[in-house]
Amino acid sequence: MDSSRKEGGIVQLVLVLGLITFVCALLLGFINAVTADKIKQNNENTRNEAMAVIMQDAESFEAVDVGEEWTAPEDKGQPAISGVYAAQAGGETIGYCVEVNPSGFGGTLTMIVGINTDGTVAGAQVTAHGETPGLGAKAQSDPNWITQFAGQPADGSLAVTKDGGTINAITGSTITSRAVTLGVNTAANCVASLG
Amino acid sequence: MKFKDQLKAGVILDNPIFMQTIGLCPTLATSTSLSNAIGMGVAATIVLICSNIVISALRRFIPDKVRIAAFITIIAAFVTTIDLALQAFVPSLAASLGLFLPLIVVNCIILGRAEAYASKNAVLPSALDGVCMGLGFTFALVLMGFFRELLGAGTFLAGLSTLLPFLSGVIPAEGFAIPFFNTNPVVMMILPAGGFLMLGFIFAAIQKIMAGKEDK
Repeated sequence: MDSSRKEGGIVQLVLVLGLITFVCALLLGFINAVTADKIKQNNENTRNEAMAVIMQDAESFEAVDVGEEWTAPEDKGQPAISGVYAAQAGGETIGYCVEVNPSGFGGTLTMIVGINTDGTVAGAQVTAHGETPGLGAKAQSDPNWITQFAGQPADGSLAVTKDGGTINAITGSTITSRAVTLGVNTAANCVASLG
Repeated sequence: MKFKDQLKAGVILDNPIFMQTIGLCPTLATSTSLSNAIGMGVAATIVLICSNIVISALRRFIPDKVRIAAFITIIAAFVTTIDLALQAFVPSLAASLGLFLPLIVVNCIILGRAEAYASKNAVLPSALDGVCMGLGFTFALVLMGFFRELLGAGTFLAGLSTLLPFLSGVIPAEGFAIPFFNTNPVVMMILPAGGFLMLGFIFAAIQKIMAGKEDK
């Protein structure tokens, strides 16, 4: 044990703490510069993989601009959309993939929803979430649950059975199930507004 | 203090969760499954070792009056560095640990060891203290996670193959289903209330075992 602890005057306190925070800030700035591009790339890869699974016939995806009423909605109950991508095949748009962020039980979910041009849901994938393992996390991990959205009408009318709809909620995770359903509905409404 | 004694202290006699009862918040939050427990335990251990080493090395340089601010800055810098590095280079691990990493900054085990040990001892013992306390924390999490996952979801090691992709051939993504528990899951055990219950049961069991030892 050291018995001689430093006391120090005010100048020394400021200098030492300033120096420590300065070094930490430099370090973090450096790490951020090294990793920022790579992280962006990884997030794009995750999104592209999910979109390729949902829209299997698509040859390429093209980003589409949507207005602020979708990306930063005034109604706090409406989840924000962080990206819309038109799925192209043979020079035609066969559908849209929408990245939407509804609020779940454990924070915001990030999910990709595919909407076909014929007005049906092509599919959905949860790409990031903070739901309870073994309960809400099944929205991502249980492949049999999320597939029930495929083929449903994309008119914003979907609801879980508890709310009088047709979507079977995950047992014990009604909030997560509602969030995913809301995400699909919002994506459908957004695509419908594109015409 | 010898490493063996330090290890025994960290894992059993002074176990951060069961004996010192610090760091209970992350324990309750991340012990919902065995794989989460392992992930959080390992991540916290790495941060603990790093922060103990740096704080011990700077212990004569940091004035007493600003030590807490200095410790938190150093810990936060480590956590952010590890978070960003994982996101960039091991995205699968970052996806499963993403929730826990920011929690480590406010994990009082790390600040507690910085204050109680690393700021008063040399670098090597401080690093070993980090290893031992980290193991103790991981041990407690694993014990909780094992029982909560078994009782609450009826599975064993679910999600470990997402955490460690090289195991995906050995362990199915949904883990091993345990007969009986699988068909009768007590969902409450993986909810927060179940965390408190399990912690209480484990505390009781440990007190019983320790009391028995003292009698002899």
